[in-house]
Amino acid sequence: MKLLLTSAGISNQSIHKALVELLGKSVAEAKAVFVPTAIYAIRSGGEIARKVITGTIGDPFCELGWKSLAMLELTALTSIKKELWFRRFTGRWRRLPIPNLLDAAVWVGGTFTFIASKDGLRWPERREYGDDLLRNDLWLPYTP
Amino acid sequence: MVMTCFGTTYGCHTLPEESDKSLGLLDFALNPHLDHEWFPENALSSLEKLAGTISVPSYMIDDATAIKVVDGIIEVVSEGHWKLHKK
Repeated sequence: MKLLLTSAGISNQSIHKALVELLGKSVAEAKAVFVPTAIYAIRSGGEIARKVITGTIGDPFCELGWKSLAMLELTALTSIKKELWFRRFTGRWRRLPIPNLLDAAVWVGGTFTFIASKDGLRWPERREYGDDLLRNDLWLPYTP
Repeated sequence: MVMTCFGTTYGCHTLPEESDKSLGLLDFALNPHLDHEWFPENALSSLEKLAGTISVPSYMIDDATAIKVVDGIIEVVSEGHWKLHKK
C-alpha cells in the first residue's frame, strides 16, 4: 500500500515530486478517482466538496491535470450493481477490478466516521471494493 | 487521518457514538493544518497537548508538508513545518 497523506493537497514541488514517484508516471498519464464522502458532514460540506473539485479551496488536487478523474460516492456503493461500476470505469465490457484501471484514489477529509463506520459506509459489507482499494491504490487523503 | 488509528468526528452526523472513526491501518496519529490561520485550535501547543493524550506517536504537519508511506516505511516530505510527538 502506498500513501501520500497531505494536509491540503499538492501544495509544493516536493510533494508533487513525491506524488509522481509513487505513481510511477506523470500526473498527466495517471487516472484517479476522487472520493468526497467524508466531507459532507461538516459545516458547508457540500460547498467545500465543489470547491475541492474545482480547485478553488486548499491546494491543487482534482485540478492537478490527471489524465482522467472520476468521482466515487462510497455510500452509493451499497445499492449500485457492481457491474455498473466496472463498466463505468472501463468504458468497455471488460470485467476488470476498478482499481486495476486506476493509478490513485484521492480522498477528501471531513467526518471519517462515514468511511470507517460499520453503520455509515458499511465497509465490511463492501470488502470487494474496500480490499481492492486498500491493496492496489495510491491513497491521497486530503484534510481541508 | 482516516488511515491512522486516531480519527475525529465533528458531531454533524447521526451515526452511533461508538462508531469507528478511522481505519487503523497506520499506528500513528496525524494532525494536519498545523498553525493554520483558519484553525486557531491547531496551534502547536494545542496539538502537543492533544498528542499527550493519545497512546501512539503523533505527526503534526502544516499545509506544506505531507507524509509518504510505502510498505510501512514513513517519510516526511516538507517545505514547511512539522513535528513528531514520540511515545
